[in-house]
Amino acid sequence: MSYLGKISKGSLYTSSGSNYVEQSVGTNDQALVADSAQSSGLNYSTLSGGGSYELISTVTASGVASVEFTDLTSAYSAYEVWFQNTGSASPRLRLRTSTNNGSSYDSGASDYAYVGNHILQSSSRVFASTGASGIIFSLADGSALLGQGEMRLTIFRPSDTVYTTVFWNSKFWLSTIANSYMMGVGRRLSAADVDAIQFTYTDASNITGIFKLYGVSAS
Amino acid sequence: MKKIVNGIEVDCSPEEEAFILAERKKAKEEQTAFEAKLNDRKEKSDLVGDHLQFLTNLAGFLEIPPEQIRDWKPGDPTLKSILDGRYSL
Repeated sequence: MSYLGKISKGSLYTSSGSNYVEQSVGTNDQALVADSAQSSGLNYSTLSGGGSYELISTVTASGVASVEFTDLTSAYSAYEVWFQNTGSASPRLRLRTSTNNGSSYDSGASDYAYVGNHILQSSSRVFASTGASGIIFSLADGSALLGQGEMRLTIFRPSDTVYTTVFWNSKFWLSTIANSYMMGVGRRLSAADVDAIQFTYTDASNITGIFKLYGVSAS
Repeated sequence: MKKIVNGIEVDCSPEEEAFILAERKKAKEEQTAFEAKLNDRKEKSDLVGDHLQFLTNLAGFLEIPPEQIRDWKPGDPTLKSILDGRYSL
């Protein structure tokens, strides 16, 4: 098989339809895909990352007053935030929105409305507001919850001039064995292009936790 | 006071810091009021619990269903007629 010494490592022989042609190997991590523009009908290329769901930013907060994400654009039809509380307790997390890319965040007493349900081991409780200075994701007594809180929040169509809507699911441990599950929906009570979001705690504590911002592609 | 914007830690402006401190002060006052309300509600709940236990005990003593006492309203002759028939009140 000495003739194999004349071809490059990783090369393939394929057909152009009339002749055998050599397909050279690509670079590391590239994949072989069909490509009608090539004589071999194949080509190595870098696959574009995670399809329509893209990790934009990971933030590890340790004792800061707020965590903010700016530059939300119409390139994404929705954004998703995953939050993992790493503090010793899980105070009430609050979301506010901005229409000037984070220069200021809307905090009027009637800027937001939300409704949520807190499911405990043997009961459930509704918490809601039709006029609040932010969207709050847990009950008023949430400060009594233990740590290990985790939340998944979806922000729909922030760049459209509509009432920006959010959905969330979250869990917190009530004790080492008892679960606590919260879900809800909220919205900014104004039709505006939201281009930045801010997370704070409603009490005097600073945020200690991990935020991951994902974008869901508009196309 | 610090904040994180797009993953970068920066100082809050004096205006932001003043706003945050004012909000926290207000939140603390609301939390204190909320806890006082909860305590008040618990005390009232304890009182209601004591009354219910008393009425349950009374129903047991009179040998009538507790509902007869629980559902009694001023002017309702049912309970009186039961007791009249039993004890010739």
